[in-house]
Amino acid sequence: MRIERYMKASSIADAFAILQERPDNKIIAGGAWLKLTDPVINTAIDLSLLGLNSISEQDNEIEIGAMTTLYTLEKSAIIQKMYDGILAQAAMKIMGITIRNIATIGGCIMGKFGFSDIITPLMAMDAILVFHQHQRMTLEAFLDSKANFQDVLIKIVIPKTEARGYFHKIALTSLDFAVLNIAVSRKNSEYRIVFGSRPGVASRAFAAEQYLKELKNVSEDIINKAVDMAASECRFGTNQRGSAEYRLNLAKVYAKRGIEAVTDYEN
Amino acid sequence: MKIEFTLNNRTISTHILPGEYLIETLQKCNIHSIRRGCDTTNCGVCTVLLDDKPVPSCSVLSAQVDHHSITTVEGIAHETEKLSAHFGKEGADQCGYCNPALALAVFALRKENSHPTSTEIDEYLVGNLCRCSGFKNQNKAIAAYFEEEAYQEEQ
Repeated sequence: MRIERYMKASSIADAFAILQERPDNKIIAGGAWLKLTDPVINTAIDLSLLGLNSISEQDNEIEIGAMTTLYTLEKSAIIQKMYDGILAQAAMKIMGITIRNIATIGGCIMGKFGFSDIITPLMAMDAILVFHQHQRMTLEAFLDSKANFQDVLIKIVIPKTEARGYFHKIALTSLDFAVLNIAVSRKNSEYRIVFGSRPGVASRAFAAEQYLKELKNVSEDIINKAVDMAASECRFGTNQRGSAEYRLNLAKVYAKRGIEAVTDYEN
Repeated sequence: MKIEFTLNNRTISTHILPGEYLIETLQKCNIHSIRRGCDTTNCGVCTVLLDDKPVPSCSVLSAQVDHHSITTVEGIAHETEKLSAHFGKEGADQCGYCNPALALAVFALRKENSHPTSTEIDEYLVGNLCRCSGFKNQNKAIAAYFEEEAYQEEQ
């Protein structure tokens, strides 16, 4: 990898302006996955002076600065409380502490990495991204966007709510990327069922979520049907970590456990 | 480009390339305790402390540490000697390749948690691989080190 120029941005507007100058000008976030990205960067833009590395609790939402490290996330009392702590749990399962001290939540999102353990719980928490130019945008809309996204992610906003959550990661070793990860959440009658590392980027099981929403009570049969709907709705692929069939079977087992957990259902 | 940072309590001013990684800069500063392992943040043998937090020097750009503080095992020699005595007692190392990084990680753990459980030690050190020891004896040695430090503090 080659970097021609390195620049510490003095403001968000400054970072945005440099980003627009050339398509090969890049924000480096924490730099953790830099070696997996473009082989040549004209200007590496560092946001570390902009104070985007904190978590704060507002009246109606939690704000997470884009430069907040994964280790800060997992240690945050605010994050540990939300949705039964699924975002903190996801962060603490990522490799070792050394990388979690440099990898940032913003970098995990902007990379749209298929292997991400962070995008999956964020999607189950209805995360909203706040950009310099695009302003507020749902995480899903950002992931669906095909255009080259030359914008500065400032913060991630999560609406404050009483909600239940479940996260599980299946990996061959503790240092490996996930074979599959799953997050399930419930906010009153609203459900989210999200599969990540499929090996593609995380996706929701909309039909299964809607099916659960329309029912007043859950039963074994209802959960089984929702699980089948969720597993058939999401596409699973094969790579060196696991086959599509293996992932499908994992998805069914852990989706069931997730729904049971967020509904406190006991068979 | 020129950067300035603190290395083991000494101020260093040096010229670097924009894409230069910290491991390369530190080696140019005659720091030989840092090993290059996987070069992809997995193995932990290149660990240094950046503002007292363990980070992989293979994946931190030198430009990122401008005006920050770096500690290598040379900067915590006294602590390392105490830890290595426990490693010797427990038969916790063989080739020693991973030891400097491990010592730095233990030093960082102690700053966060001076009474870690065996599980907390394992969890904190999950990113520091050792291909000789199998980790059991290392865990015992580190636990013994913490016990002794706690005892010394009480005296």
